[in-house]
Amino acid sequence: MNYLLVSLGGGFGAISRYALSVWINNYWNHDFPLNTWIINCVGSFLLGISLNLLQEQGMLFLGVGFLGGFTTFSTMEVEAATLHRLKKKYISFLYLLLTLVFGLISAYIGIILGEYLV
Amino acid sequence: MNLLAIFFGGMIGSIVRYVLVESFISDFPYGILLVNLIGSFLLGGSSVLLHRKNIPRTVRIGFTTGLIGSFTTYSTFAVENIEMILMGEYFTSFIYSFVSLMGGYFMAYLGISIAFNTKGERSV
Repeated sequence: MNYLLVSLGGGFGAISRYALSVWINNYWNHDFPLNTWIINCVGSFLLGISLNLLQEQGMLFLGVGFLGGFTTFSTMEVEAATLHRLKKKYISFLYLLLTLVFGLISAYIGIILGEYLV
Repeated sequence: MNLLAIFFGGMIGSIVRYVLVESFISDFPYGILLVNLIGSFLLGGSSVLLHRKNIPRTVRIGFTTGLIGSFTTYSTFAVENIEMILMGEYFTSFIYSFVSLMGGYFMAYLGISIAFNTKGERSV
């Protein structure tokens, strides 16, 4: 049952990431990977909220599965490494730094909001 | 068809991540760190190899965006990191962030480079 919850959540998370990523790219034509940046910040915020609101099974489906699959670490790193290979090291490091800073701030706001909502 | 491939890839990636992370019992999030480092290497390599070998887009996108994309995760990394900071473990948080981000960066770069070299040898 746990595996089913995690895998279904992960499947939907991956599709949502893909759809949102493609949609954002319709409006964004710059080197900075805004789509992945937004996805990781939003996902961190939502996981922060979920911590205090969801029970065990809800957490497996939404937290571990959906939000785990929605956000991605590997895509971020490959985008950064690709920018580096294209001699855009400045944007590459800025991208990682902004993902770290705003991802953590998003998670923090989510956790605070989740505690407030309980 | 692409969406279905991404869905199935996402299912497999999430399950493998869950099993791997659950098998580590530790104060430090070694499981997520390992998953993110391995995934960055695999995505770097596969995005080059699968792109070059005339493999159908559905297969490529199912593996890269679906499977590896969901295998690695950012949200857990961010939340765990904030929990460390809230408990006053600033140094651990710094080490976790640094090793994850710069390690993943290196692994992705390594994967891409190895894939390009491998491709060069096999392209006869």
